[in-house]
Amino acid sequence: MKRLLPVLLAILAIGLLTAGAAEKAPAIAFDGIAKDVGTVTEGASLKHVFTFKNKGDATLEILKVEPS
Amino acid sequence: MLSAKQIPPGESGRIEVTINTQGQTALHKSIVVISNDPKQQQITLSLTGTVVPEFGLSERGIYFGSVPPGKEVVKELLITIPPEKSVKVLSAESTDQYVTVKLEPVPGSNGKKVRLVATQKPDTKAGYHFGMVVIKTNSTFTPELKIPVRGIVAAASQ
Repeated sequence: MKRLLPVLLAILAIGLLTAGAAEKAPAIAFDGIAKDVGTVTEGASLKHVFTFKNKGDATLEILKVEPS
Repeated sequence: MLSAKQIPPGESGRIEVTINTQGQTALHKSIVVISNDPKQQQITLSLTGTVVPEFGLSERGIYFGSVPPGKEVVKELLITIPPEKSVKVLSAESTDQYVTVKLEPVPGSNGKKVRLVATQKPDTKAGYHFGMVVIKTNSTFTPELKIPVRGIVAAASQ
């Protein structure tokens, strides 16, 4: 057991160092990604706003918004 | 439309989607968002719904059928306006010279139901004829309704 202790401590130290060195990253979180607007009259212009938040710890960059 | 391309940690952003429903019966719009989020680089947003016409038609077109020469044929079509709409049907005319049309408000419907009566004239020449019934309305979304009309008059037997 005494022989194993230094090995376990070394593994723990490496683990902690790796976790500390993890890169910061953005995290996009939408309030909702699907919206059913129900029934609308033909000809009406329909508008909806999708909101999102950057819950990460780095700047979030929106690279592309492409309607299908 | 995107509010900002770069969003700092803890901040919010908006994507505004505008859709013109003209000429559509169902609504299904997808928007693909690509970001530098390593866990979800691509997210698909969806917008769905049902589009109802301002003016409901009992038939999509009028067909007088195949009839012998000299016969007058009358067909009717019902135009229905949803109760919550304040639009009105103003007039109707036919581009087919062998077809006359008139509008008759349905009694008791408070102007929400109008009957279109289309008549194929008895002097319609033999053969196939077609055209459009153009209905004018006071709606800014749907100023005109176009209904195809067609018919066949058999050649006179010798």
